[in-house]
Amino acid sequence: MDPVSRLKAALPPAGLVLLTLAGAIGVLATGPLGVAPDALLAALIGRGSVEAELALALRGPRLLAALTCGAALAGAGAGFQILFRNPLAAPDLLGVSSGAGFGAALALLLGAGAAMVQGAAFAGGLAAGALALACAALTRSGDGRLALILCGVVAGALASAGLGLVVVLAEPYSQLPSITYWLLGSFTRATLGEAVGAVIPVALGAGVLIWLGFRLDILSLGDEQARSLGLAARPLRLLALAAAALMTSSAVAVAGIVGWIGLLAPHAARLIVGERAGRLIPASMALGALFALVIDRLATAFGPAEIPVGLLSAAIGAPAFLILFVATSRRS
Amino acid sequence: MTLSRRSALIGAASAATLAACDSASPRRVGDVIAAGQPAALLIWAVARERLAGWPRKPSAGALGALPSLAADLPELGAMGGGGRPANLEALAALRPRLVIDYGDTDPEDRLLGDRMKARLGVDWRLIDGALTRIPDAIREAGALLDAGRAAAGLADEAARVLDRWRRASGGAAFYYARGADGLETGFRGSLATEVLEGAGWTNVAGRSRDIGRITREQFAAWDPEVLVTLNRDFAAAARNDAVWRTRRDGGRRRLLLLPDSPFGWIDRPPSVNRLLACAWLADPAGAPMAVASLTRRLYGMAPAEVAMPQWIR
Repeated sequence: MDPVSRLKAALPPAGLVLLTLAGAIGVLATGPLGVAPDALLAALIGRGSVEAELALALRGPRLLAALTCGAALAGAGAGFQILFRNPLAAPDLLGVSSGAGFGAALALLLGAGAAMVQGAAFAGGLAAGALALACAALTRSGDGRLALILCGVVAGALASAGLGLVVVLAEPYSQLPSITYWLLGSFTRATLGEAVGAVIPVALGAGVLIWLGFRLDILSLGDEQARSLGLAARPLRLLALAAAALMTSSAVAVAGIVGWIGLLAPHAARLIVGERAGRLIPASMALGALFALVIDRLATAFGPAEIPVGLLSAAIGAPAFLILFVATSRRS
Repeated sequence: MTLSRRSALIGAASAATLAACDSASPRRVGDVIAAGQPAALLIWAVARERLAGWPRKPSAGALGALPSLAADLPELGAMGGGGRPANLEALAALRPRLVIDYGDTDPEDRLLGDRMKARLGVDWRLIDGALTRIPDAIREAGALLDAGRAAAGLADEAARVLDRWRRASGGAAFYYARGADGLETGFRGSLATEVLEGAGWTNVAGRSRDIGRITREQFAAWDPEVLVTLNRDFAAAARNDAVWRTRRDGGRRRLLLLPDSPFGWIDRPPSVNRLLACAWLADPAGAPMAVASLTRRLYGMAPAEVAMPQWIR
């Protein structure tokens, strides 16, 4: 590809990233504490008032959590959609979200603190994903994609059953509301350390998916074609799935179960940058982060009580997905 | 015999038994079922030997503090509301004489009572769970459980506590932190904060619904004078956390840890346990005596085992 074509190709994803950054600045500059932007800027360079420093300390982790989770879910969703050649593939395909929900609910039932809850959610998500991958590895059905989907359903169902049991056993006046609110999703609960802690596995997973790039495009053609082009299909698919599961688990551990981002953002990004994995995954991540920022801002826009972001993402994501679907089907 | 006819007969029989009241009827054991945990606490306070089991077994710590009977009682599950649902057939097999529900008395709760009465064939009594009507609830439970004289003493004490609580001189602007991260709260007018608000404390969490979640920034914007919690782990985490402890003017926010064992002082569950917080709020300095007396009457615990609220530095 010549330099001009390369630049043209890079423009849309770069534009999305800039748009997301603009959104992030907007979110950082507004909030219930009502600190003026110049005071925030002064706080950023260490010369702000106590109140401005407090606003930054509160908004920073929340913003980072929203950006990280939105990007992670969208990137993982794009990865799954490419690998399975299925536009309905979402980050929970391997049961990761259900596993994380079970882990968090179990920790809340046992009276664990916030950090332990996040750790249990992360471990639960990875365990469900690993179970699905391990079960699929035992099968010998074609190129393995159907087996992965079925094993993901099984892992998700087992985790959902465990979650149901925890809900039944939970104390109704204290534990049950906490579990319910956790499952409905929020970017608020993450501290700076926890949000930064999520960035690392998400960056690792995203790095793997982006590095795989054109190999994912080839894998999406099927194992035989991939092998004929010299790719080790199974190990590479396993690597990609593990990376996507890591990203999903990290996001769910921080924010709870926030649906639709991983389904909607890749579809929207596909309209802008096309099908190729090397561009689709970064563009999806930028759009996912932007979508997460929007729903996070809306979550606190209607009074002091936070509307769970999982509810908002569904309320906005489902109709937006329908509009996208109608628009693309008419175009084709 | 149809079940509804059977329940009508049982209802009539139990009403006749109640009319005979205290001394005339032989003492019975484990023949009354609590529909939910609030009712279980009410029955435990009035005539604990009559309680057939816990809707939800108290924590190990609570069982260690309560008389040994508490640990011997089985967990039966709850009827309606949250928590593990009861197996109605297993409840029927216990041959209970009465089911007591304690809480809201709106039409839905009455309807639930009617349905359960018809299905179980056991008399079902719904007692108003309003905080200010605790003395009436204790008397009503005493009459139902053939423990009218014992209940009268507790009801009189509850009435005196509530009278002092109503006349409390007021307190600070507070935020009630629930859950592991403290971001779940009871909004103004909620059951969870009724005890504090009734004593003149101002709940900073307004304009919303019963229980909900907020953001840390919203908490900082409200800037309450006092952070109240029942969660010991959260209190330990918040103790040196700048967001929770630093006020907007740079001052230090007070942190109040209310006892959570054997049951919460201001909710969890919303039952007669809330009298303890009422006694403390009415007169913090003179509260130890009142709290010790109430704890003995409500739970059967020795005064030495009574926990008191802590202002955490």
